[in-house]
Amino acid sequence: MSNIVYTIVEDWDNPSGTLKWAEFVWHDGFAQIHAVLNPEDNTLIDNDATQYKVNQWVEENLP
Amino acid sequence: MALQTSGAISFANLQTEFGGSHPITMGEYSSHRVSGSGNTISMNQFYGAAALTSSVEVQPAAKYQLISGPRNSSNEAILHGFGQTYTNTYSGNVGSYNSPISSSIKTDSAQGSIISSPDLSVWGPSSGAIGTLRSITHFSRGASQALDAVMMIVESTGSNSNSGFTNLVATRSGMTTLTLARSNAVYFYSSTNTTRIWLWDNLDYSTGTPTSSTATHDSSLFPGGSGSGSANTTTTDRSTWTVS
Repeated sequence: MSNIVYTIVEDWDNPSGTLKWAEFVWHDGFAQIHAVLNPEDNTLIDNDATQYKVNQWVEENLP
Repeated sequence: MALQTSGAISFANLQTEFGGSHPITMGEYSSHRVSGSGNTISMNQFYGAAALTSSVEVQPAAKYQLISGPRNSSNEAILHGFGQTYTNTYSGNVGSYNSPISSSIKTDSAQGSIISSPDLSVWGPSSGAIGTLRSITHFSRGASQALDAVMMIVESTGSNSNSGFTNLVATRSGMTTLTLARSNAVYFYSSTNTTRIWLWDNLDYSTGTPTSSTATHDSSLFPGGSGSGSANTTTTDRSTWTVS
């Protein structure tokens, strides 16, 4: 399966917090799951780990 | 029902919508204004304002079926709560989470219900409505309840953002209070009816033994039934769900 395209978005209600979402097209809208943060600096996103997580999630949750 | 959007609004209108007792004071209703701020309050600032529904008492329905598993095995699936038909409407959005559960289970006539018929179109915490509450369900399936999830579906939200509340809290006599943080949910947005769905996964809410077709397939959140398509009428099995 090719990589799923995702974007990182801040939490709407807490934009300055460390929680970030990986958002990707899903069905007739989109889905958001937690982005993976860099373990050494939680203000940064671990893009490789997030990509892997998104791919896995989509593969496991296709109807 | 929301207040009118034009013309004269009376003190009695405010009291009918938002409650309270005599004597009526304007200040007690200031937080319900939809426009304006400060200590000067005008009646037209209440145009379209509505009392929020932040808590519902659920009379659950219990649904159970066997679904095919690997190597000719069967797995149990349960779908308890209320508004199960909406979990069918949005099965595609939540993908594999509940898609194996047959549509007949999700749409049969034994749906759970809400006690006292509050206005579900203004579901939300005190900070504002997030839309029309359609469903809160607990579904579980697979060997050792491999999947165990709670899902809340809100339609007609007017927004696609993952926002608007902090926690969904379940309480019931005899049950440990369950607090589900929005920040811990998987979030789905569907353009159909501008619907927002929050799903809390990988938790254990079941009390039943999931290993055979004769086992109990109950839910600790929506208890009182292991049957297929059976509406529960036992008052002690009601749970209260509050959004904050």
